[in-house]
Amino acid sequence: MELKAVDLTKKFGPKIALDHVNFKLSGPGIVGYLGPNGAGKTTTLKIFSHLLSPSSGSALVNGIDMTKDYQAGLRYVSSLVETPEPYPEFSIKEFLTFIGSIREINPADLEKRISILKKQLSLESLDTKCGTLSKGNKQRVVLAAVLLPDTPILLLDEPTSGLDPAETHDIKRVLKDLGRRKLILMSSHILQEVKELCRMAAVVNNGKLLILDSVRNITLHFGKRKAGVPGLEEAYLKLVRGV
Amino acid sequence: MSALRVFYVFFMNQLKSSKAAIISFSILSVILVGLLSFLSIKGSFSSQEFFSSFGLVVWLMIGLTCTNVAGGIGIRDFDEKAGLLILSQPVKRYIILSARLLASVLVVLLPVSMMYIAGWILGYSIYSTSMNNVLLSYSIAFLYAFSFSSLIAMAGTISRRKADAINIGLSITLLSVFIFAVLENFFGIEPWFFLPYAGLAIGNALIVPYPAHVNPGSYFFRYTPYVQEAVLIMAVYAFFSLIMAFLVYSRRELVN
Repeated sequence: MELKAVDLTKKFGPKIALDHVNFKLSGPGIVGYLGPNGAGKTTTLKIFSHLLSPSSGSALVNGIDMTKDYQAGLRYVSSLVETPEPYPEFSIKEFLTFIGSIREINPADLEKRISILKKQLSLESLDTKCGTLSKGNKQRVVLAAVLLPDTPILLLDEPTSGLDPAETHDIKRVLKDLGRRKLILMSSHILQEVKELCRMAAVVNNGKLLILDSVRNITLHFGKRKAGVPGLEEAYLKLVRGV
Repeated sequence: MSALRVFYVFFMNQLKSSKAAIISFSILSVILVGLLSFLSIKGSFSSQEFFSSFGLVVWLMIGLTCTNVAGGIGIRDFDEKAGLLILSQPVKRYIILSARLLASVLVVLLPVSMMYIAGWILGYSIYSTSMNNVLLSYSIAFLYAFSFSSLIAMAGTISRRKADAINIGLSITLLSVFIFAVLENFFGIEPWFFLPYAGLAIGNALIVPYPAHVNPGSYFFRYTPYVQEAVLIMAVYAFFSLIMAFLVYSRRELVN
């Protein structure tokens, strides 16, 4: 399982969202993707999910160039980018079955997977219409849809954003478990979460990749305090703001 | 095999999403034919007048139904938040669009079929004569529904919101008669380049003998298309709309 960006560049008119980004991530493990709003995190995830096309450079999933054969590349990837929502007129079960059918999971396995995910993510009754769910419950359904195909690579864009502490706790528990056997690229603004879950972190700002290293090394090299224990927050501020 | 299965999944998904539209348009269709029958009795229409009016009602309903049902298929995944999940699945986008388009056309055919059945029954009850050339008219209606749906789907793929595609469809449908009148009477132009003009063949086919190509007595429909001409216009529209729709849909990015 591998994600590789080669000179990845994305322009929106005159604005450069990603500027010749290069990285290679191999799994398993969770890699935190950090940076201020508008730094290029979501753009990167969207390119690897085929929701955007790069202006130049390549995004490779297990060696497959997403611009050349996105269908083959997406077989290895499942992504939660921005804040998707299930179709409101579908019940939870119908929506998950729909996603499972697109992924060509056979009906028996699909039933099993849905029942496991229902338990893991504490989903509401499967007959509930998605349109009637609260924001947190919709996010659980979406996360279930993302985890349903059991792909080796997951792309998660702020997966705990907008959730209450209990829901955040549940999802972190699931991610911790998944991180042992999958490669997860997870963007986040919550440094504590990154510290808890991630073995490595990448920091981007203004479309440029500033660093990709283990969380420990980043903290040690950039997070030195004048007194006390070095912190990821200090490292982040130093990298992004140069202070 | 795999592509067919995925096609079927999206086809069923579109049918499910259009359930409310199928029911409401089917009911509306039967009510409209009922009202037309009532009007034809009150206004002492001849059977020819009844069937040609019926053809115009079918033509209008196809425009409205296609606009409502197909208006969303080109834009839905880019406009709704579910698209973030759907378009990141390992599926070729042309499969998604073609499955949804075919489902939309079939959805439109249900109210259209009900109109033909109701029109045939009521026409026979009132005039004791069968509807002429039903199969020909129905086939043209099918082609018109397919062509119009393709056009609206294409409009959706280049729109920013579903409402934009629907506005285009409604404008084409509701303003077409006035566009015909302006082109024909002020400029003397036969509007062969305008899709709804081809759709007039649906009603014309029900009249025996088929109306003349030029009809100076009519203000709104001075020109009427021959069947071959209508079929050609519809086929050309469907062909180019589909090519454009697939190209744009396949390459479109999901920007905020």
